[in-house]
Amino acid sequence: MANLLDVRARAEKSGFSPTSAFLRARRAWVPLIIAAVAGAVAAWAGHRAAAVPSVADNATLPLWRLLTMGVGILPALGLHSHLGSLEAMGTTVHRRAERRYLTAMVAAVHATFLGIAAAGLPFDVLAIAVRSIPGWLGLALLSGRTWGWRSAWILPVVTMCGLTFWGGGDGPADFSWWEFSARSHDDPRTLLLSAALGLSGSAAYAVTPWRLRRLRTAVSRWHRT
Amino acid sequence: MNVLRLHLRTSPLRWAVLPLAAGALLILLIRPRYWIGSWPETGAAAQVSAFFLSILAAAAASWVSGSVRRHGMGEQLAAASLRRSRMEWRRFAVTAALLLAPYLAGHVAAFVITARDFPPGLGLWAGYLLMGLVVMLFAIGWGWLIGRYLAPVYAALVAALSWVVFETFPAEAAYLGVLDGPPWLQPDVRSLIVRAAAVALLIGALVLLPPRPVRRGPDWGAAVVSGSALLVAMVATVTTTGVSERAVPAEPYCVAGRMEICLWPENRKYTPVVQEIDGRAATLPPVWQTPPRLLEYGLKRQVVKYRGRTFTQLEGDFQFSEGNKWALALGASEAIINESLKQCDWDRVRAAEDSTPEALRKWVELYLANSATPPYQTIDASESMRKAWATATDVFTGMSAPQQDQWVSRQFATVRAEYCG
Repeated sequence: MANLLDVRARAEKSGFSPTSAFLRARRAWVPLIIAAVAGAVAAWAGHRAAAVPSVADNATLPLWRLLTMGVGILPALGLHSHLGSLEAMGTTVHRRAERRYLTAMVAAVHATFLGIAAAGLPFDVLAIAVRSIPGWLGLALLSGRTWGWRSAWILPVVTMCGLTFWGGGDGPADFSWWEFSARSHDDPRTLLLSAALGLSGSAAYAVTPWRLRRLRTAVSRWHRT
Repeated sequence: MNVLRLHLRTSPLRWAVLPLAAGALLILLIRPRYWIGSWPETGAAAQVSAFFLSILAAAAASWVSGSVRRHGMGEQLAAASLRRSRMEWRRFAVTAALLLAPYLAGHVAAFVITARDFPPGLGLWAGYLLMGLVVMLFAIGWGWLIGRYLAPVYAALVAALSWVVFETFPAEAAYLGVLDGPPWLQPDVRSLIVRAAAVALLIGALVLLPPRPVRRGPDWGAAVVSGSALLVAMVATVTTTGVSERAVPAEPYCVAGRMEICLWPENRKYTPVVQEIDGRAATLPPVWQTPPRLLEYGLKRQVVKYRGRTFTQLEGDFQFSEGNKWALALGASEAIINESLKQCDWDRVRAAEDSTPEALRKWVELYLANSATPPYQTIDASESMRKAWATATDVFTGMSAPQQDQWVSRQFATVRAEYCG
């Protein structure tokens, strides 16, 4: 332990900063730029909607909903690191840093997007966007844990296709009860659904490879006895 | 061929083929099934899945195209004895084949279902098939380009989002894809050829000019050429129109009866509905007069002049909306009331805001459909219209047949005395 501290102290003395190395490996500035650009587009043309295929008649998809999905999943994509396989053997210190990084990115990316989009979108639309973000992020974390952080887009993009096609109702404001990205902002059921998706994502994030292995071992032991 | 097979067997996309094909079939079969038995509607319905599949295809293509950089294989590939364009072509071809397979599976299923009746108009189905193919290949090229030049972490998301924004916003108005295929419209072959050529140019640029390994510096030449090819494909898409109006057929498909009801030949599957409504028209009380002929929407053309320009406008007596008999009942009721009150001054009816003719029309609509519960709702109807419809519905449901005849005769007598002198 003393040796380790010694190494760290020497590294810091020579100008090495673990935090900046951590951020550099993840290119933390990229999601922030994407969020800012998406926010500007949402403020400028977020209300534009186009006809989309749907089981309902005359279903439309406004641009802000697409952008919210994209920005919602950015922090999960940003968990990818060029040193990922090395970090997979990381210590609790590294794990704690990653957790802090994810929390900070969720706050920064979404605040950037929503803050800029607020210039052009009314409150009720922003409220729907805020409500849907935990849902998108949860799906992205689930997807990322399953196929790797770079593939965190798979579940959200597939879900967006499903919501667009099956979630529409008979009227423009009448969506299925599970359409968490479009139903009115004061709808309690979609709020619960979005929160549940967010929690499942957090749970998936907590299931690290080593915890999964411990769980598997425990299950197989229990199975044998 | 062996190399292609090897790519097919190792591409991670092979796991996506079955789920995506299942998705395409769900999209085809869960929508209303009025497309069955009409080739243009069948082609359009199977083409709808291209909207969603292309979003996933753009993301997946960017994932595959970025794999060389992701795995740090640039140097190894550069040292290979094969031409880089040849290797790139194989990777692209296998990716495209795996991503097109689910889309084509939807078309095969739709084809088999409609082929049992084999109505006329197979060419229109093929046109919509081509339309969706162009969408899919364009999306794959789009994703491939983004995956090649963007940071691999965000490329797939950016490809999916940018593609869906392009296909829903600028390209939707240009009919990059369609939501349905009524028989009076056709996929515009000339536009589709232009678009297909532009997409082929994009794919050609991507495949023939793969970027050099990063070590030798960024390959600006390849980036500029393929970026320009993408721009050309975008411009070719938004400046052409995917569908155009068809010419009136020389011989429409007509069903003879009390009235001669003519349809587009592709819609001949609606013959039983037409016969049912015409059979009801034949039993109308003698005070009603039926027009000799009813034409489906698009079989009539009218030349309209507006601000010095001349347009041809499509017209018709009725329009089959998703094959519902009420669409024909509504159109026929309007034609019958106009025929029965041909001698009347409609301007005076409108000036007096008299809703009696509308009540009569509603009654005949309910009579033809033989039901008092239409499946549609009218949102912006005036109070007097709603009152007229309620009266007609009460008469149709609450009175015996002779009482209804008497009510109709009384209403006719009032209207004729007032406005038809």
